[in-house]
Amino acid sequence: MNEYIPYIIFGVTSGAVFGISAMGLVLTYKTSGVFNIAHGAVCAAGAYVFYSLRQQADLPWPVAAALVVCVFGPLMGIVLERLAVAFSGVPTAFKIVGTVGLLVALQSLITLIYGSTSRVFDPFLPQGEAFSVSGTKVNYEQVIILLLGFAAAGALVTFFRLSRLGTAMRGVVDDPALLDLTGDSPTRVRRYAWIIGSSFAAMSGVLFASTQAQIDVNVLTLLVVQAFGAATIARFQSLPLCIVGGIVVGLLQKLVSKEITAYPDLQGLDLATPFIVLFIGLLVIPRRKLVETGRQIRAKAVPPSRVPRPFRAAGYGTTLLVALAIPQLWFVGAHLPAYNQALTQVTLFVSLHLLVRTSGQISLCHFGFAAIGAIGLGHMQGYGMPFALAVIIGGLLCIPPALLIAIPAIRLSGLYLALATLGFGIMLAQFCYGKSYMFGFGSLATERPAGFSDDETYYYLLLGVAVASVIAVLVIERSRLGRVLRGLSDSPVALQTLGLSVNVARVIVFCISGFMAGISGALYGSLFGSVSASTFNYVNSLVILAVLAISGRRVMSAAIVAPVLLYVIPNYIGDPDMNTMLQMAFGLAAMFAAANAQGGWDVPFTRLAERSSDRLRGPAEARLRRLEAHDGPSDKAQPVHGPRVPVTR
Amino acid sequence: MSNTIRSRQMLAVAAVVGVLVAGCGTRVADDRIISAEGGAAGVAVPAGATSTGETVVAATTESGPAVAALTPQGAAAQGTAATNSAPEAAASAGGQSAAAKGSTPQVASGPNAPCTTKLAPIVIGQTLVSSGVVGAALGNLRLGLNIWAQAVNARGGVQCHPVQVYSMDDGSDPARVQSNMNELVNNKGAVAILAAGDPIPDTALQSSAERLKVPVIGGDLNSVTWTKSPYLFPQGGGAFASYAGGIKEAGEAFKGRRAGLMYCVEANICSAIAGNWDQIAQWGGLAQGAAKAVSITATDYTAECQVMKNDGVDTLLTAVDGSAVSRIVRSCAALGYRPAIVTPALAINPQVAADPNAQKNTLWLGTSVIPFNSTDTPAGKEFNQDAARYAPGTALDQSTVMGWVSGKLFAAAMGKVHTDTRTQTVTSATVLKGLGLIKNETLNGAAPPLTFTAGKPTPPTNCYYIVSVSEGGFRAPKGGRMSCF
Amino acid sequence: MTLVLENLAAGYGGTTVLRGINLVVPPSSVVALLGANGAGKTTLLRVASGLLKPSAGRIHLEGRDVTGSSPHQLVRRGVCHVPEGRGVFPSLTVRENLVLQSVAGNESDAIARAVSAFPRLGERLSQLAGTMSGGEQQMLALARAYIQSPRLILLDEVSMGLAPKIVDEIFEFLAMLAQSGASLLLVEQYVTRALEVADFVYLINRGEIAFAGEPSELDAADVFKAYVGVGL
Repeated sequence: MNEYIPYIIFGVTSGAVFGISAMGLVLTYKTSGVFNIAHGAVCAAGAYVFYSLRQQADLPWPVAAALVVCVFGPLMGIVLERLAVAFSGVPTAFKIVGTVGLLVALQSLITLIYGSTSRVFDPFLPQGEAFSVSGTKVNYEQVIILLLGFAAAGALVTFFRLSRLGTAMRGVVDDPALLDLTGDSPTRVRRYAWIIGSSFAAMSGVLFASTQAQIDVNVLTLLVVQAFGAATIARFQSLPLCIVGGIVVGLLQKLVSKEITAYPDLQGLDLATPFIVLFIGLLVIPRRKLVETGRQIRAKAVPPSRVPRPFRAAGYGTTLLVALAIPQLWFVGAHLPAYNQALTQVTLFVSLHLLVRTSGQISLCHFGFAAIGAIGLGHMQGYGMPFALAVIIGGLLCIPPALLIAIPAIRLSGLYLALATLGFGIMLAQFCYGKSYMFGFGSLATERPAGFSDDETYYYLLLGVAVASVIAVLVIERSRLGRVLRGLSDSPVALQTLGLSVNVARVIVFCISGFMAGISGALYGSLFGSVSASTFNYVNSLVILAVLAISGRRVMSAAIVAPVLLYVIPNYIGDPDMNTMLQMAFGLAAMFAAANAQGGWDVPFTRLAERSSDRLRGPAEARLRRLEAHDGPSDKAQPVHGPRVPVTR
Repeated sequence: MSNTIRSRQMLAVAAVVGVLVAGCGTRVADDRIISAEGGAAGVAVPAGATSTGETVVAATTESGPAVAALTPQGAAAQGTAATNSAPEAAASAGGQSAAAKGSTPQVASGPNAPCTTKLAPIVIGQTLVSSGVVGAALGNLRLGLNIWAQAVNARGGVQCHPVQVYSMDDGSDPARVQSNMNELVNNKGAVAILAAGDPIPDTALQSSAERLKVPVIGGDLNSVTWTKSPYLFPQGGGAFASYAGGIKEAGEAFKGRRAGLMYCVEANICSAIAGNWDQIAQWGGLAQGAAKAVSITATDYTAECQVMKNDGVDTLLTAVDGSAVSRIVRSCAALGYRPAIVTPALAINPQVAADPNAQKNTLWLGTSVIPFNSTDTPAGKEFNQDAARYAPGTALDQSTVMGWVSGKLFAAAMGKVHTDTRTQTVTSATVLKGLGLIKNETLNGAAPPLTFTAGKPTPPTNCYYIVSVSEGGFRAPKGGRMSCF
Repeated sequence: MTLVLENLAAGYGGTTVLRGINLVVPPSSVVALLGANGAGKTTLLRVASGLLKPSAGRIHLEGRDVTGSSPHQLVRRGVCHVPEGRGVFPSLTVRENLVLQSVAGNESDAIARAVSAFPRLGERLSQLAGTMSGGEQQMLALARAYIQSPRLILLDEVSMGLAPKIVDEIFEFLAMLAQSGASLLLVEQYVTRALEVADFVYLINRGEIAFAGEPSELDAADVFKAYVGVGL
C-alpha cells in the first residue's frame, strides 16, 4: 500500500487541475451548447499573459493573477460568447470545426508572439514542503492547488444552487426562450457563464504552468484534452462531478503508469488513460444521459451548382489539363515533392468530405487512419508484397478500427462522436504508434513502386489515384448509398421511418472513409522512403478538418483547394513565421466558414436591412406624407387599427 | 557597411513578420552574425525576424576589411570557368566588394598555399529544421556553419574559392527537405550540402542526396541514415556512442550502477534510442534498468520518476526534448530523487542549459564532436576564436560547433583534391572525390578519426566527447579529449 | 394596457405565417383569439411577446412602439406570455422556477403570492418541476401571470391536455386576473369557454384575421367554418 501513496498524491494533485479546467469547459458547454475544443488554448493564453505580466512587465504575482483571472478571463469570455452565438445556428459538425479553428488560430498566435520553444515559468506559490507522506514530499503549491480546486467547485455549486444568476444559468440550459419570457436576458446569462468559464480556464492555465515551472504552448493547449476525460465522468453536465472526475482520471493515470512498468507492450497506456476513459464512457453511459445540449440544427442541403453544366465540365477539363502539365510548369520546379504530397492527400480530403459533408458525421482522427494505412504499407512491403497490394492492405487495415468507432457512432451523434474520434486518435498516437506493430522504434521503411523513384513519373501515378478517388466519391454520392447518406444528414428520424437502416449506413460510410484515408496514408508514406510517428501527429487531424471547412462544399473544391492550401502553398513559403501565420489564417478562416455554414452571415445583414428599412419611417416618410396631404388624401390605406376599434370598458 | 539583399518577396515577408513581431520583443534574433575585423557590419536581419527562409552569406575578398558582399538570389555564380574572375555576382546593389589588397604573388603548391587569385565562389547549401521543438536545439547548426563560412572567407576561401552559403528551413517536413535540396542543387548550384539538421525526415534527405548525387557533409548525426548511404558523411562519432558515452561518464562521475531510460513517444529519434537500449546500456557499462515511454506534453513525470527510483536507477537517460528534461528533473526532485541525467546534446540549447533546475542536477551530454567550450586542442581554440570574432555575444552550444566542424570537414576534403580545385570548376564530383580520400582525419582534434571510402556508406565511429551542464552553464569535464568504445 | 398590432407580418425562415394582422387588445379586457391549428395563433402571440421578430408591421404597447424589443425587455414593461406546452424549467425545482419568475429581490414575496393563488404549489416547492403532473406544471407556469403583476397577459392554450376539473381552476384564475385589471389575450381550444370570458374575439384563418368583433356577433357556423378552413 505504501508504494501506492506517491502515485495517489500525484494523481490527486494533477487531477485537481484537470478538474478545474473541466469545470470551465462543462459550464460553457451546458449554457451555450458549444463545446469549446479550444478551451486549452484559452488556458494557454491565460498562462502566457500571466508570464508576460509577471516576468516581462515585472508585476507582482497577485496583481498579475488578478489581471489574468479578473480582466483577461472575462474579456476572453465575452469574445467567446459572441463566437458561440455565431455558431449557435449551425449543425454540430460545424460548431466543432469552428472551435477547432479557434484552437489552431490561438495556438498559432501564441507561437508567433512567444516563439515555439518553451520558457521558464517562475513558480509563484510557495514551494516549501508542507508535509511528507511515506517519503513523498507534498509541497505547499500542491496543497493550495488541491484546496483551490475544491473551493472553486464548492463556490460554483453554491452559486448555482443559491444565486439567482446561477439558477438562471441552469434555466437557460433548459429553455432559453422561456428564460427570456420570465424577464432575464439569455444573452446576459450566457455571457456570465462564458466569463466564469474563461476565467476558470485562465486560472487553470496559470496553475498548470506553475506546476511544471515551464510554459509551453503545445503542452498547455493539448493538456486540456485530458480534461475531456474528467468531463466525461461528469457526463458533460455536473460541475461538482468534474472535480471528482478529474481526480479519478488523474489517479487512474498514475496508477496505470505504475502497473505497466513490467510490461513493455503496455508502454504508453498511462498516457492514453484519459482518452480511454472518454471512449469507454461514451460507450457505456446510457444514451439518454448523453443528450447533446442545445438545439440540434440540421444541415442544409448543398444547393445545386449555379454554374451551368457545360461550364462546369469545361472547368474540370481545364483543371485536369493543368494538373497534367504541372511537372512542366515554371513555378513548380524544385517544389514538385510538395505537389506529390498534395496529391496523396486528395484521397484523404475527399474521404473526409464524404464523411462530414455528405453524411453529416465527423471524425477528428482521420490522420490516425492515414497512419494505419502507412504502417500497413511499410510492414507489407517488409514482407515483400508488391506495392499496389500493400497499399490496398493498408487501406483494409483501417476497416476494423473504423468499425470500432462506428459502433459508438451508432448510438452517439455529433459532439460525442467527435470526442470519441478525438480520443481514439490520441490513444492511437500515444499508445500504439511506438509499438512494433506500428512504427516501432524509430522509423518504418517504405518504398515507392518499382520504376517510380523519379518524382515526375510518380506524380502521374499519384494523379491517377487522386482522380480515381474523386470519381469514386462522386459515384458514391450519386448512388443509393449517397442518397441514404444525405437523408442521414438531413433527418435520421425520417430515414428510420422509411425502414432504411441508419446504423448500417453509418457504419458503411465510416468504413469507406477510413479505407480511403488509409490508402492516402499509404501513398503519403511511400513518398519519402520512411515514415515515423511524427509524420502522423494527431493535431493534424484537427488541422485538416479546419482546412476542409474552408475548401468549399463540393467534392471537387475539397479535392483541389484543401491539399493545395495545406501542402503546396506552405512549401513555397520558407519562413517559419510566415507558415505559422498561414496556419493562423486557416484557423480564422475555418471559424468564419463554420459560422457561415448555414448562411449565418445572412442574419445580421438581414437585421441591418430591416433596420434601414425603418428609415422610411423617418424624415423621408414624413416628407412623403406632407406631399400627400398637399395632394389630397390618396386611397392608400391609412395606418389601421383593425376593422373596428372596440370600445373600452 | 555590408548588408544582405533579398528578393522583394522576402523583404515583404520579413516586413510583415517584423511588423507583427515588433513590440512583442521577446524573440531572440539568432542571426546576429557580425563579420570581419573592424567591421561592425553584419548580415543584417530585419528587426524581429528570426530564422528567415534563406540567409545568404556572400563571398568576401581576402583579408582586409572583409566585407560580405551582396549576392542577389538566383544570381549565384555557378563556378563559371574563369579562374581569376572576381566574383562578379558579388558586385551588386548597395554593397561593395573591398578591393583586394595587393596580394603577394607566391608560387603556390599544396593545399595550404596562399591564394594568388580569387577563384569562382563555391555554393554551399544547408537544409535544417530551425523552428519548433526540434529546431530549438538544432537551429544553431546554421549559426555554426555561418561562423565557419565567414572565417574561411576571411582567410581567402576554401582553396581560394570564396563560399556562399544558402541555408533553408524545412520544418522537419520531408517534402520540404526534398524541395529544398532540389532548389539548392538545381537552382542555386550548390556543390555540397553542409550541416544538415534533419533527424526526423532523414530518409528524405538521404534519398534526395542520392538522387541529386550531392554529398551531405556533416549534420546532427542523430539518425542511422548517416551510416547507410555513400552520400552522407558524418563529421563525428555515432549517436549511440554519444548516449552510451554520456552514461559511462555520468556513471564514473557519480559512481553510478544502474541506468534507466525515459523516451518520448512522439518522435522516432526518441524511440530509436529505446530500440537500441540494450546495446547502449551495455556500452555504458552500467546495469540495464527500466525503460519507460513518456509524452513530451505531460504535466509532470513524478510517476515515471518513482518507477525509476524504485528500480534503483541512478543514471537516467532521457530521450526527450529540452523542456521535458527540465520537467523530469523537477518531478524527480520532488521525490528527493536526483539521478544523474544523460541526454542527447540535440535536446539542450543555451536556453535549456540556463534553466536553474537542470543545472542543479547536472546534465551529461555525450556528443559526436569536440565540446564547443573546450580550448585545449587547436580545433577548440580555433572554433572559439572564430565564434568570438564572427558571432560575439551569441550563446553557443553543441549544435553550433557541429555546424562549424562540418565546414572544416568540407575544407579538408577540398584540400585533398587541391590540384583539381585550384584549376578546374568545382563540382559535386570533385567534392566526393576529395571526401573519398579522407582517412583518419581528426580536423585538428575537432572530431574522432574519420575515414570515408568512395562509393560506400560510412560505418559508425564509436567515439564520443563529453559536455555537461551544471551551475554556471556548460562545462567540458574532459576538455577536448575523445573516448572510444 | 393596450396592445396594438399594426399590419403585422411574420414567419419562420422563408415561410410567411402571418399576413396583414391588425389586432387591438384594449386595456382591462379579455380578447380571445380563435382559429384552427396552424392558423398562426401561436405565432401571433410569439410576435406580441417579442420572441419572434415581425417581418413587417409594428407593435404598440400603451401607445409606444416596441417593435423589435426582446422578450425580457417587454417583461419589464408588463407583458407576460405563458407559452404553449408547459412553460416551466423541468430540471429546476418549483421554488427555483418561482425565483426566476419573480422580480429580482422580491423572491420570497413572489413565492408567497404564488402559493396563495395555487396552494398545491406550496406543497411541492422542492420538487423538480419536470416530475409534476401536467396540471401542476401549468399552474406553475400560470403563477408567473400573478407574481409579476403584469398588465398584459398572453395565454397560449393553457387548458390543453388537462383534466376538466383543472381547467375549471384555471379559468377561475384567469377570471381573477381579468378582474385585477390586466388585459388578456387568450388563445384557446375550448371555444365555448373562451367566448364566455372574452370581451372581444378575433378569428384567424390561414394567417389572416377573418373576423374581429364581439362574441355575440360570432355565430357557431362561422366558427366552424373558420376551423374547417373554409373562407367566411
